[in-house]
Amino acid sequence: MKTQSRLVWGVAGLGVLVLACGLGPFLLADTGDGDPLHASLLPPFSRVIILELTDGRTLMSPEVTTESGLYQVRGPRSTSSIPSDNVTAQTGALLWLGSDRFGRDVLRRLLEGGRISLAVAALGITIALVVGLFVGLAAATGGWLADAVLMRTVDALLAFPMLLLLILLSALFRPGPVVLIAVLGLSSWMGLARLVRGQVLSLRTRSFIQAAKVAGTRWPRMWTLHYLPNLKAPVAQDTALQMGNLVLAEATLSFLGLGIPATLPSWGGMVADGQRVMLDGWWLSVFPGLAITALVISLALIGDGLQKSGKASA
Amino acid sequence: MKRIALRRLAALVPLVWLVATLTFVVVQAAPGSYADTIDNPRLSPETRDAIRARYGLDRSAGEQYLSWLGAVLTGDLGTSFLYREPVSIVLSRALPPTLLLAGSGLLLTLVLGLALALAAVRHPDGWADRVITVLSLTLYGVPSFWLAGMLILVFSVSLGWFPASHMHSVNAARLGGLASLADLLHHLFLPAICLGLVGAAGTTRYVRATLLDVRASRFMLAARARGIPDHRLLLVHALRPALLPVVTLLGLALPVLVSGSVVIETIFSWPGMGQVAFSAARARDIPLILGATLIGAAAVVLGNLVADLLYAVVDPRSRGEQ
Repeated sequence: MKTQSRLVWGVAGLGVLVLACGLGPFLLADTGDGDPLHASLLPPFSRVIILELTDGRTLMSPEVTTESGLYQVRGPRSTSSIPSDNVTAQTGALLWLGSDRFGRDVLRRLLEGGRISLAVAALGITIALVVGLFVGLAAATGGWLADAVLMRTVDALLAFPMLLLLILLSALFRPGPVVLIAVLGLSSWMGLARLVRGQVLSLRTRSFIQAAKVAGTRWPRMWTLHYLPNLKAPVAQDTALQMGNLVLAEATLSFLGLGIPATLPSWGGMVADGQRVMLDGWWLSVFPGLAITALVISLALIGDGLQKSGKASA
Repeated sequence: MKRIALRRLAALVPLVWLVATLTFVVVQAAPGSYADTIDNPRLSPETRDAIRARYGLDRSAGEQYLSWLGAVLTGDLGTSFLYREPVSIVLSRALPPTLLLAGSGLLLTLVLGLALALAAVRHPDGWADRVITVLSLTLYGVPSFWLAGMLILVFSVSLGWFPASHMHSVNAARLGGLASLADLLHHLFLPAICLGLVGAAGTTRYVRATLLDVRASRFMLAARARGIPDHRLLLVHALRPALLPVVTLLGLALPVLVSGSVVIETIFSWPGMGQVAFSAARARDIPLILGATLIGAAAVVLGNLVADLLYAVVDPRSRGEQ
């Protein structure tokens, strides 16, 4: 694949995922919180009928019949008879990816979980980007002492098994979403810092930087006006790849029950739930896994595509 | 060479100390202690206090840290709260399975990664290259925990070819030497292939790109002009320079591999360091958490050192700079 087309495919993939997660839940038929009694573990492409009752409950089942003024709602474990007076509305819905143990629409949860995963990844990578840029610039321009201290710290952090640290931190603190974002962001800035430092060091030998220095440009202006614009391409490329790693790290933590709290849907958590009932419903763990894969691949393609030489990095 | 190695080795001690100290701070800052994690409602607050006193948890953080550090310097990692055994014994039991699993994973990463990359660049943009590019990109994005579940579903549950968990069969003790080795390899296959596939994806992508770069260089043209056959060009002339970055890559892959095997160990119930570290963190077993981090950090840091030294061996140019 050409470098250019990689970028196109990556952006297209990411765009589809973002759009689907952003708009999808509004476009899907409203299946509410599902129906654990009558609609649990339905395979993909199941058609269900949704009944809204006068007491506010919703019932959902693939098999609903009417007999002499009674709605018979059949499910795998129980059948309910509802007097037709109690039913306020009847709608149909297609469960594209089936339902889970609690009779919830898997596609809806997948898209809602995707919002959270995408938001966590986007905010985490923003933190990593800010810290990485700052540390890299400070190390390259702040004199030998700052350079030595900052870069040895980076070396030490890179040498440490990050996921292990994340697991340890999450197991000890049980973080909420905000702490999780901070922890993920603060554990993935080191590569960026190293990259930025190298780029700035090579920029410093260029004549326009020398000229700016001779003209007496101070460091805030130097950073924002001279260094940052020239760092865009390599930083964007590394950011895309790092974001992929961040998505995987978040998914792994959520899979272990240490990431996004179990009360919210998350792709990693859905895989974990699905693997517990793998024999009853393969679709429960397969689709969230595919979603993670699609997101990481899109980001990797963007990263590859942004690299000028067309050289893939691992 | 030897002096460089020794100097680098000495520089690792503060690094490992730093990691252990940071871990200590983190564990101390975390809410709860071992005494609170014992799940027994009949335990009175006084008993919990007594337990705290017995494990030295009632002392100040500084006191606990100094006594731990002092003991470590004499080679004593303390006693695990959870296992009621010396930490060194718990870890020495858990380390071999992890080394076996991570080592096999690393080997598969290398072998698969190099083989796929070589097969891909034989005919750039040919069908094999396209298939391998798509395959390696897909595997790069696949989360290892999901791949593990899929492998178990297909190869253990549906086909029944491989066991889904643990390191030995129940009757392993009664098997003879060779049969028990076969049993071990049978159990090792799925977790190792899982680590290997995920690792190989990155290696393939990287080596393929490097090989393509090397192929375009002028010494390759010169070699081709001398009439050297294609397979020799690829396997000898192109592969050698392409392997250089792989050595560095392996050093960087080591932390990832160690982390990855924690997840894989959890899924396959592999009795290694990952399981120990995980259960230690949940039980607030401070000596065991510290011991495991110490060993993990030392292993990773040593691996990086070996990669660096190996780089000096395979690339004579880098020796002069030191």
